[in-house]
Amino acid sequence: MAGPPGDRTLKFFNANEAQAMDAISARLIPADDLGPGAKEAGVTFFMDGQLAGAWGTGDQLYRQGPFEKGTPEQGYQLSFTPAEMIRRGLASLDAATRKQDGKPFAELSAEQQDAWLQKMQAGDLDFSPLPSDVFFQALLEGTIEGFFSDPMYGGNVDMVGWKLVGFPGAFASFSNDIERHGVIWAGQPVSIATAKAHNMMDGDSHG
Amino acid sequence: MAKTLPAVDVAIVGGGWTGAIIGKELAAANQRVVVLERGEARWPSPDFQGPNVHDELKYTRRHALHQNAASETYTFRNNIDQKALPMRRWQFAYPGTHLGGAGNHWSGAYYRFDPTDFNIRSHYTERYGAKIFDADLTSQDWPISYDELEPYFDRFDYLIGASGQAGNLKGQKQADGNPFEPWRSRPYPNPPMKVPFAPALFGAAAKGLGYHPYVQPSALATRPYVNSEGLHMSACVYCGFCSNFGCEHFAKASPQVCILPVAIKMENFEIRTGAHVLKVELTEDKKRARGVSYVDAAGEEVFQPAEIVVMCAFGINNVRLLLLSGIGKPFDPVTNTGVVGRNYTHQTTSGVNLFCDEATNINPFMGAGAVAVTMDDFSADNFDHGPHGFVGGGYLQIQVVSGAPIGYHPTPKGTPSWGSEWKKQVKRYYNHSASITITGSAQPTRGTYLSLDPTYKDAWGLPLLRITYDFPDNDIRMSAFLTEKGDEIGRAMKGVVRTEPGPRKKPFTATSYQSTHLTGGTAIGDDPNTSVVNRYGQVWDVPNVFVAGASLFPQNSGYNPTGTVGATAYWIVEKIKADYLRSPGPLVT
Amino acid sequence: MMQTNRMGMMVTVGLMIGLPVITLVATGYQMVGLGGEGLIRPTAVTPRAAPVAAPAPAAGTAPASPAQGTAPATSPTATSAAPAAVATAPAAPATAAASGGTATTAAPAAPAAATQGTAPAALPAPTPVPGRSALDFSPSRPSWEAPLQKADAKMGQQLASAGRPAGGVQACVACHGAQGVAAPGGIFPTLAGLSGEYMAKQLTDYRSGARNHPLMTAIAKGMTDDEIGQVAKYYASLPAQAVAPKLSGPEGARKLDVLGENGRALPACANCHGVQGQGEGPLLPRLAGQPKGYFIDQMNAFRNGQRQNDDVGVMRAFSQRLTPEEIDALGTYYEGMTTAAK
Repeated sequence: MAGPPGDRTLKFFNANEAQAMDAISARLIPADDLGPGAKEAGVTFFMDGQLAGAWGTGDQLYRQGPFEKGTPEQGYQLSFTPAEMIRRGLASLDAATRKQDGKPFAELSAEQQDAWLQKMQAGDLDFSPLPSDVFFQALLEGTIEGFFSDPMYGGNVDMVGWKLVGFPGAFASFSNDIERHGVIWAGQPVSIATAKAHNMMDGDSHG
Repeated sequence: MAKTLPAVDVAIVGGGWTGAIIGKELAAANQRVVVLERGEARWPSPDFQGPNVHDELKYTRRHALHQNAASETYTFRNNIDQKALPMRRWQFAYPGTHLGGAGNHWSGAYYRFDPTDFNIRSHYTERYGAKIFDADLTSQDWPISYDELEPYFDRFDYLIGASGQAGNLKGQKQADGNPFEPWRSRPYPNPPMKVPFAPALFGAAAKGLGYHPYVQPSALATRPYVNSEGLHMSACVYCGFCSNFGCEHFAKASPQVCILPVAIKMENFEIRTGAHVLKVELTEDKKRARGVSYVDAAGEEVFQPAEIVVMCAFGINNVRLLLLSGIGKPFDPVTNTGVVGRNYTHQTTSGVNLFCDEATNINPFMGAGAVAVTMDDFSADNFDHGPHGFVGGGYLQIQVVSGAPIGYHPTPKGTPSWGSEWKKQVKRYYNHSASITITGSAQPTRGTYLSLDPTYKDAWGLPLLRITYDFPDNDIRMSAFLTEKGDEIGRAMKGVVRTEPGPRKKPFTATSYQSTHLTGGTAIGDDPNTSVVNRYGQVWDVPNVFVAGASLFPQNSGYNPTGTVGATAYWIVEKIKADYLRSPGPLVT
Repeated sequence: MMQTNRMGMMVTVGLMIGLPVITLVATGYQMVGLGGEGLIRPTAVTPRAAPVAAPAPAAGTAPASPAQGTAPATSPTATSAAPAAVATAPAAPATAAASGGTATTAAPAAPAAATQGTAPAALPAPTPVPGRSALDFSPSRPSWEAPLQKADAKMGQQLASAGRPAGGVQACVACHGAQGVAAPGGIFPTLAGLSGEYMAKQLTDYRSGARNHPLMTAIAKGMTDDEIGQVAKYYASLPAQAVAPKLSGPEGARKLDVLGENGRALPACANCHGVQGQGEGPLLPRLAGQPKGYFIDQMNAFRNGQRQNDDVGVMRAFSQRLTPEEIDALGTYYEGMTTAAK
């Protein structure tokens, strides 16, 4: 969970991992003429919070063994928690780029970075025992979550993700507009993060 | 050594729709009732008030109201030649937990099963000949008919404030309702939902092709409503945070909005949360339940003696509990003997993704769980199955549920999954796309069944439920047919520049969401050789145990299950009140 | 089952023929006779078998009100008309009960009504909640939408300052304040910062009679579509009053605003009206900073059914479950949200 506004202290990533994560997310959703990308949106900080928290340590993952390779229809069968996977994957990626290109991922050119990511996505990199495509998928899902989740989790800074697509955010009643077919919704997006600063007082409970 | 509590008349496992209905009705009939809910209490205020409840990450991605896979999941395999492996994280369905269960986080799409769903085997055989059923299908008739259940459908309608327009009142077709609707004794208590843009475009195209689209009935109240329990509901505001969320407006029908506030005022009705039921305890001869064992919130094992036990957990979790309790003979597909776990099915869904021109602003975030224009021209047996050679059918619709962007950011096939081009397509199509949803029936086979897993266990050390399932060929043929019809409509829709039909294909995968309609395993029937409970939901082998919910379905309809779940719950509890309480024992001999 | 009774046979045959015939005639009438927007081309619809006669409910199944504990215990609504399941607007008393301090607009004032045509002797009959047809997918593009979009806010400012007395349109500033901020504690609403759509809708509602007020009805009837759009756009452009950094006011009111209440099935006001009472769109006005008298007037008008332009009736239903004391407290709370009131 995000700390008070302005506190971007990392709880999970070390400096190198954060740098790599910045670089990865900047290629997955780049800044361009359409607007800021995942890095500007704070995806690294979002993922940091998630991986340091309960979900990252696997509180939603069934982790009893035995672990066996299954069919594609049986889904994820590895033992890695999200935190373990990301840490291990980043370490493997770092080792691989240093070995082949002599530099950490973050210092490569954009073209080189894209090439690495494409190979990773195809499962062509050897990060065993972690299949590189599984790791890539976790990075991509985390990046999308960080880009589009409520800013209270540390990502989607200034609601840049929501502004890209035109999503109104948290606080919305559309009773008045839903029958106005095709109307351009002209409101400003609302986030729990900004809304919460007002009106809530100690002792108010929410689910 | 388990602590034993003072006895009650009725112990109910699970605090969802069926537990609330049956619990409240029996308490009103002067029974001492305790409802055992494994999760925690959740009430609209304060737990689901805005803005906090509008949090896609928490509720959809982090499963705040779903059963936690870490402590209890299912194992899955397509067929008995495979080894079942655990679903280590949820993707294919979202069983509920916490008070209200899935009845709290559901979408509110509200239908009654078709009359032909209740006698599917005999109806199709009569009309088309027995060969219309593939040899592998184990579809079977219910022991009760739509007509017998109709008063109970009606009752559930008025409990939840169903919104819709009657198409057939007591046999009289109504001009502005669904022409295929089976007869109903009363109108819907609330008018139909508002219609957003994409469903309206679908409706216009479908109508132009000669079909009969109509506004889908829903369990989302469309105006202030006082239900049959005297409880208030308010109007849905189409906020787009419906499925997976609790409703802050008291608009989405749920047990905690529609029944529980009345029930908990009764001195003889109690809800215990944090009560994780382990099994039903039986007498030595296994002919009678003595009560249930559960683990309480402090982690202590407790025995709750009871005269009657009613299984009201999430549908297929009831099956697991019967198996863990040694109730009934487990189904074995190899020998084709036994009944508990037999005839499990899911829902045969598919879709057609639609991409629109830039002038067509869909506004996908203006929506609700059940706001849709739908059509039944290919549901049930509303069309001639003869040329097609499959049984069953389904509805086609456009339903605008949510535009929450972590899950919803459609791009055409061939778009890269990341990078600037992906970003460009996401922006281009977010507000200019929609999808036609197709929800089809699901037939069972000998190979679609539930059993206890031999290897994997839950957090309490008990075997997980194992799902063995793949689509029968019948359902694949049906899906291809329905999806093609959907594509035809999509191509006729104004503003649509591209369609991408996606008919369901084998093998069934546990990695994509296909509704939470998991049904079967304790089939309702007249024959103990092919059913676990009799026509009143009473377990053949243990007459003081009743089962309610979707595990009763011998196969799944093309329609969403909750309407029929609610109706059968009322049907069951009324029989208990009328006959069983006075004279406990088998209600069917 | 063999019918041995001849009369029974005739009845049965009569039903078997009669019901489909009636349906055919009705369908034909619907398709052709009503001259609707188009024929529904029939597909291969298999006629349904005539159902058995509606069965008598099985023993003990009467879906009547339950035996015990029906009314929610904590509902203190004094004047609740307890709307029944299929009721439309709650039965409104012919004259509004004035509760709390300020007089409501119950008795239509005679003078300003001169321009209305016939002065209404009693309140208009409750508008039925729109019952949609399940076959109606039409959009609802309100009439005020286009004029609002193209409106020139400067012209709206002129109209607001000077009015158009010849047409019966008083200057808005006379009651609503020079900058659209009305006097605190008073009965006139602040307009500054109200959503343009909300204002346009309210003026249109006043003009059509969907909403009633002796002063506003007369003024609105004198305004054109374009003028409504202009005035709405102008006021929407004015800065809304700033919300006080620290809220004060009755704690009970704050809880209703932020948490709602389970016992009376009351959602938090903020769920719809926004976190700082900021409002949204044509149906959800900004509440922050509204003068207390106006707020109380409107809540009472909803409560007794006098105000009915709240879409499907949600405000009427909510206000009936609030006590006069709570309405008063909420009025204080919302007025106190802005620094100007301090």
